[in-house]
Amino acid sequence: MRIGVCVHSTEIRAVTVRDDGAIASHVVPLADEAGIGGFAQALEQLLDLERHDEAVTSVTFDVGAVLRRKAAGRTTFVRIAPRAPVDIVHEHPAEAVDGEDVDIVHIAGGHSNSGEELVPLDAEALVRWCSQAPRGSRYVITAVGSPINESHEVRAGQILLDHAHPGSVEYSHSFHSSSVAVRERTAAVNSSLIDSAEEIVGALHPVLGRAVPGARLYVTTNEGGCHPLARLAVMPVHSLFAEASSALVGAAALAACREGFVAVRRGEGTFMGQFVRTCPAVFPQFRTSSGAALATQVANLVEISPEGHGLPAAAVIVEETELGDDEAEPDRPVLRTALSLCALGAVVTPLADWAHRVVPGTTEGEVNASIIALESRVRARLVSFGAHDRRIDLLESGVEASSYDNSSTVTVRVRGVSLDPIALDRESVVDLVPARPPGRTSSREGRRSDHVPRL
Amino acid sequence: MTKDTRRSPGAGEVRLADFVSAYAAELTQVHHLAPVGGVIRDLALISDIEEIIGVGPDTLVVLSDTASQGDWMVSAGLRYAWERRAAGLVVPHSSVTKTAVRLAERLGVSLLSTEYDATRTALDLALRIGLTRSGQVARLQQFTSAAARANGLRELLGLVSTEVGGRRVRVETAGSIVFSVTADEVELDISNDQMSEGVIDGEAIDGLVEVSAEVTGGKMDSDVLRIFVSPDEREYAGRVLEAVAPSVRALTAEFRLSSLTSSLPSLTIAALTGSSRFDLIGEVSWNASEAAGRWPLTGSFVSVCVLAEERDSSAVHQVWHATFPDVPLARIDSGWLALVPVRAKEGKAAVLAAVRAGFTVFADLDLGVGMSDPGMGPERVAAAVQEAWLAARLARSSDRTRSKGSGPVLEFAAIPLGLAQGALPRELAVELARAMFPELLADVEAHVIIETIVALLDCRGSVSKAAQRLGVHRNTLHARLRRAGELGVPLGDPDSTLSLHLILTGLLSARGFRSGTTPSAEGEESRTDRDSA
Amino acid sequence: MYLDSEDVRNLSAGALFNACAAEPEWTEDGMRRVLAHMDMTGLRPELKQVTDLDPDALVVCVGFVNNGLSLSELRPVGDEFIAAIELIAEAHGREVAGLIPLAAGSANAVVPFLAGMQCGIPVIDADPMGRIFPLVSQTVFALNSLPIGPIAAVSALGESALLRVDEPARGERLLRALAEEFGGWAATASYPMTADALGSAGILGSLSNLIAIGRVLESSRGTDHKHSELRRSCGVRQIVRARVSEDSWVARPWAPSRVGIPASVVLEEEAGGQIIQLEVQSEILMMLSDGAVRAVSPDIITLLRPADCSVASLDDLWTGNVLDICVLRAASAWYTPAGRKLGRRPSLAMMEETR
Repeated sequence: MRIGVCVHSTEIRAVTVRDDGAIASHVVPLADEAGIGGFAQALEQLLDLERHDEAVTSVTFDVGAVLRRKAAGRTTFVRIAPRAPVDIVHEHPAEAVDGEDVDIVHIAGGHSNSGEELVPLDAEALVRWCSQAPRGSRYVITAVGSPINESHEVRAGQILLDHAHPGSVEYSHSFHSSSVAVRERTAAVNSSLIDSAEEIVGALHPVLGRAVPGARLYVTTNEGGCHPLARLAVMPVHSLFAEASSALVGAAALAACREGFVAVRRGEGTFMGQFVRTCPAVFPQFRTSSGAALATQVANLVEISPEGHGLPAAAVIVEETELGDDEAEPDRPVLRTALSLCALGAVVTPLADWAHRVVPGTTEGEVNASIIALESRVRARLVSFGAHDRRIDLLESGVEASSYDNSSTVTVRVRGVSLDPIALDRESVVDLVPARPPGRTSSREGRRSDHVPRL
Repeated sequence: MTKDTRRSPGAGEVRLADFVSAYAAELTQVHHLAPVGGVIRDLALISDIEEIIGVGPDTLVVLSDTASQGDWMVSAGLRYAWERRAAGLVVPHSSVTKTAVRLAERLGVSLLSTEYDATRTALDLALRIGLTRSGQVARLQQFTSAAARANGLRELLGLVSTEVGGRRVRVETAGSIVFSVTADEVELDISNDQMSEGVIDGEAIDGLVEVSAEVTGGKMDSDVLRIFVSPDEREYAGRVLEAVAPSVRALTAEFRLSSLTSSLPSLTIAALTGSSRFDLIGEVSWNASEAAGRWPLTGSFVSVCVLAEERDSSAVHQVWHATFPDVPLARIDSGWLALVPVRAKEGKAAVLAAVRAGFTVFADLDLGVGMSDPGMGPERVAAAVQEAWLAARLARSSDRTRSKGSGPVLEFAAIPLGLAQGALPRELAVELARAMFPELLADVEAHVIIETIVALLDCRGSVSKAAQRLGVHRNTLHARLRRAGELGVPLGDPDSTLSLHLILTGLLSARGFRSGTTPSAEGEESRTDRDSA
Repeated sequence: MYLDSEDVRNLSAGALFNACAAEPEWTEDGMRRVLAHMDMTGLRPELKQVTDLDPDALVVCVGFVNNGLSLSELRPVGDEFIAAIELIAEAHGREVAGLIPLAAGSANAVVPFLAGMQCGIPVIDADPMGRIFPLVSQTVFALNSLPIGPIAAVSALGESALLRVDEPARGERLLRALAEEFGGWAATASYPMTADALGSAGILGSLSNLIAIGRVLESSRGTDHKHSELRRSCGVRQIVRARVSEDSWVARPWAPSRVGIPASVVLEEEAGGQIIQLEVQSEILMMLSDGAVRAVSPDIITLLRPADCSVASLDDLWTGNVLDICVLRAASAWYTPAGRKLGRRPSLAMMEETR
C-alpha cells in the first residue's frame, strides 16, 4: 500500500492506494496547538486508521504549505566578485527574511567562463573579516562563475567554517542559474527553510519508524516529482511550491492522462499544466509573485481565468470538491472528486532528479561526453533514491540553446524520472459530470453527484 | 471503385511508393508517404537551399548536409517541395524531427531520410531510378513479344492476366462482356460461365481501380479491354492493355467470325427454296449445344443478309466495315451474312438506320440488303438468317421496293403481304410448281385449289376468313384442302408453308394460268388483281 | 526633456519589446539601477534631440559588448562607463556632449541614461541600429562609412583599453576578443562623431519610440486595445498567437569550425493550426509558418504574453505556453542591399535575401 500525505496547517489529508488499486481517503485535523508536534500526532492517527494486513511500501509527503522561512539572528551574504560595487545602486538586493539582520561582505575572486580565475580569491580579507564576525550567523556564499568553477565558494566556505563559527553555510553553486542574484536568492531562501524542514523531518521520522518501519519515505518536489524525505532537510526550496504540482499530478492520474492538458479546479481557482510523456512539462525557474526568480524546477502551471480563457478544448478538467459543497453544473464536462488531489498526486508522483550544468565544450564530442556523464549521474541518483534502473526514463537530455556570446561553454540539462505504474481504481473516487446543456444558466442547487466519497 | 482521372504517365516513369519499397528500402527510411502517390521524373541534389527554387515538378529532392543543417531548412525544403510539386524530399537522418514529419503530413509531401552521405545517396537513387525505368520498359517489351505470338484470343488474354498478377481480363462490346478470363482459367482450361450483361463476374473489386483500353474506335460501340487492379498497379496495367489492344482487335474479330460460322446451322438455300443455286459456302454441321457454348453474343441480335454481284464485293466490304467495324461478314454464295447485336435501348431501328445509311450508295446497283426480326440465342439463328435472306432477295429484285424509297434495304417485318407476290419471278414459280407439285398442276381444279390454298395462307391459316374471302362455305373449303392434300401439297408441314405460299402466289400471277390449261413458260405479263390488303 | 520614473519604466518595456532577448534580467537590472540612482541623487535623466546640440558637439555611443559571462553573472560595479567616457574625451581632447545607446533594445538601450546621470551628460534621441544586432559593426554608421574608433573599453575588473581603429568590422573583432579576456564583457564608448554627423547618419527618434511602445504596453487597457495601438502607431505588422508545441527546443552544440546553428522552437498557431517555427540564436531570427518564411531578420520578431501584453522572453518558450508573436519592420536602411549584407547572419543568408 502507498500513502500520500498532504500537510496543511490545520489538518493533514491523506490518500492510500492499495496494491489492488483501491483508494481510500482520510482527513485528520490537527490538535489545537498546531506546530510540528501536531503533525506527528495526526500522522500517527492516520497510520492507525490504516492498520491493514497490507504492508506500507512508501509514504510521500507534500509539505509546501507548512515549510516556513525562519529568520536567523543574522544572515551574511558573502559576495565573491572581481570588484565590489561602487554604490548602493549597483548592489543587488539581499534576500532576507523579515526581521533579520543582514550583512553583505565583498571578497575579491571569481572565475571566467572557461573556469579560470578572473582574480585570485582574497582569502586573507575573508579571514580578517571572520575575526570580528558574530558567531552562529547564517551564511550564503555566491561567487561569480561558480556554476563553472565552484572552488572559490568552497574555499570561502571552508574559511568560514574554520574561522567564523557559522550557524550554517549555504553555497549558491548548489543551484543552477546564470545570474548570481538568482542563485544567491535561492540559496538564501533554501537556507532559511532548513530549520523548518529539519523540524518536520525530525518529527515525522519517529512516528514513521514505529508505524511503517519498512516503508520508503519521500517528499514531493516543485516539478511534480518526489525525492527521499531526507533531502528535504538539505534542499527544502525544491519542495516549497510542490503543492500545486502534486495536485496536477493527482488530477492527471485520476483522468488517466499521460499526454495533453490537465486543468485543476479548486475553490481558489483553476490552473492548468501540460503532460508530456506522463510527466508535467517544467520550467527551470520559478518566479515569485514579486517577479523575483528562484532557481528551482517547477511544473509549468498557467492560471485560467474564471471564464475559461486559455483553456484548450482538449483539456481534461478535474475538480476537487469539498463534501457538502453545492455542486454547480459546469459548462464543460469535468471529473469531480472529493479526494485531495495533492495527496493523490503524492502517491503517484514519480521519483525525479535533474542536473543542469555548464560544461566546457566546443566540439560535438566533448558536449556529448558531458551529456553522457550527466545522464549517468542522474540515473545513479535515481537508483539511490530507490528507483529500478530499468524504469528510469530520461525525459530531457541535451544542450540548452546556446547564444552567440558564449562560444566555449554550453549548458547541458538532463532530467530523469522513474515511473512506477500504479493501479488505481479510479471509478470509485471520481465522477464524470457532463456539461449542462447550453441555454440553461448555472444553478448552484444543481445536480448532486451520486457518488459518496469514502471517508 | 475509383477511376484514375489523372493524366497517365508516359513510358519509364517510376512511382515513389513502389520505388522506395522495392528498390531503395535499404537506402532510405520513409517518415511520411504522401497519400496521392508521386511519380519520379527527375532527381536533384541540393547543397544550397536556394537551388530548390529551380527544381521542376515530380523531382525527388535530396538535401545535402549543408542544406539541412538548421531545422528551418528542412521545413523550408518541405515548403518548396510542396510548392514545386516535388515527388518527395530526402534529408539526412539526423535532421528529421517530429516537427518535420508533422509538417510533411500537413503539406502532403513525402519525407524520407538517409543515413548515408547525401551525394552518395543521390547517385545511388539516380542509378536505381534509371534501372527501374529501363526494367519496366524491358518488361513491357518482353511481354509484347510474347503476346504477339499468342494463338488465339484466349491465350492472349491469359498472357495479359498473368502480366497483371492473375487478374481477370474482360472484353466488352456495347456494355456486354463478350469474353472474360484469368490466367488460371486459361492454364486449367476452364471456361467462365458467369457472364451476364453488366455484372462483374464474381470477382471482388473493393479497393481496386479500373483500367481500360479501347480496342477499336468506330461509329458504333467499340470493344473495350477492362481489368480491375490495385491502385499502384494501375499505370503498368494501362500500358500492358494499350500494348495488346491491336492484337486483341484482330483476334476478337477472328474469334467472332469463327463463332459465327460454327454457330450457323448447315443451311442451304435449297432447303429454303428448293434450288441448288444458293448453297452456303463452307457448310459445317450444326451442333446446337456446341454452338451455344461459343455463342458470341449476349442479348438480342438481328441477321443481315447482303446479296450483290461479285464485282461489288469490295464496295460492300468497305461499307460494311465502315458501318459495323467489329461485326464480321460471313461469305455465302452470291452474298454475305452477319449477326449484328441490338442494343436494348435503341432496338433494331438503330441497326436498320445504320444499314440504310451505309448502303444508300448502292441505290442504283443490283444489290439487296435484308434484315431479320430481332431475336436471342442460337436457336433463333436459322429463322433469322432465313428472314434476312428473303428480305434481301426481295429488296434486290423488286422495283416496287425501290420505289418505296427505302433504297436497297428491307427489313423482314416490313415486307407487305402483297410483296410476297413479287418474291419469286413468275417463271421460277411456274417451274418450281411443276417440279414440286406436278399432280396438283395436272388437276382439273388446280386453279381453284391453288386459289384456296393461297387464300388460306394469306389469312394465316384461318379457314373461316379464307372461306369468307373466297365467298364459299367452310365445308367447301375443307373439301378443297383435302383434295390439295391428296394432290401432294404439304399443307400440314409448317416448314414448307412459306415456300408453298410463295410458289403458289407466283404461280397465280403467272399469265395464262387457268385451270385446266398447262401454263407455258412464257406466261403473260399481266398481273392478277389479287392485291394484298 | 527630463524623464521621470514612469518614462524609465516605459523605456525599459520598450527596450525589452524591441529585442526579444534571452536575458530580460539585464534590462530590468539596468532599469532598476537608473531608478535607484534617481532615488539616491534626486537627478533625472535628460533626453535631447540631436538638433539641440551644436553641430560640432562630440557624441559617443555607449554600451556593453558581451563575450563570456553574462551581465547578470559578472555584474558591473558602476564606474565602468564613467571611465570609458573619460578615456574617449581624453583621446579627443574635449568633453563629450551627448550619449547614444549602442542599440535600441535590451540592456544597452538603458545604459546611456545611467551613465549620463553619473557624468552629467544628456542622452540624444538616436541610435545606430534601430534594433539589436549581435555585432558592433552592424550599424548605420558602418553603412555610412563612419569610423568606429577610437574605442574605449573598460572591464568589470577595472582594466581599460583605448583602441585606435577605424574599420567597424575590425573594431568588432578587437572588442569581442577583449571582452572575452575581460571576463565576459566590456563597457564601451565608440563611434565618436559630431552631432551633425549623427543627425545625417543616425536613426533618429529611436529612444522616444521605445518610450512610446512601453507606454502602450504598460497601460492599463486590455490586450486587444494594446494590440491595435501597436499596429497603429508602433509599426507592428503581424501578431500571431500560437502555443508552444511539445517538440520545442532543439538546440545543437557549437563547433568552432561551424557556424552556429540556430535553435528551433516549434509552436502551433491557435487560429489555423499552422506549424510555426522560430529560429532562435540569442534573439528570434526567423519565423516560418508551415515551412514558408513569414518574417526574417532584419525584421524584428518579439514575444508578448496574451494575458496582459507584457513582454515575454525566450524563457517563456516552454511547452504549452501561448504567446503572441509580433513582427515589426526594422529601419529601412537594413532593407537596402548593403544593409542586408551588413545585417546578415551567416546561417540565414539565403532566407534573408529572398524576402
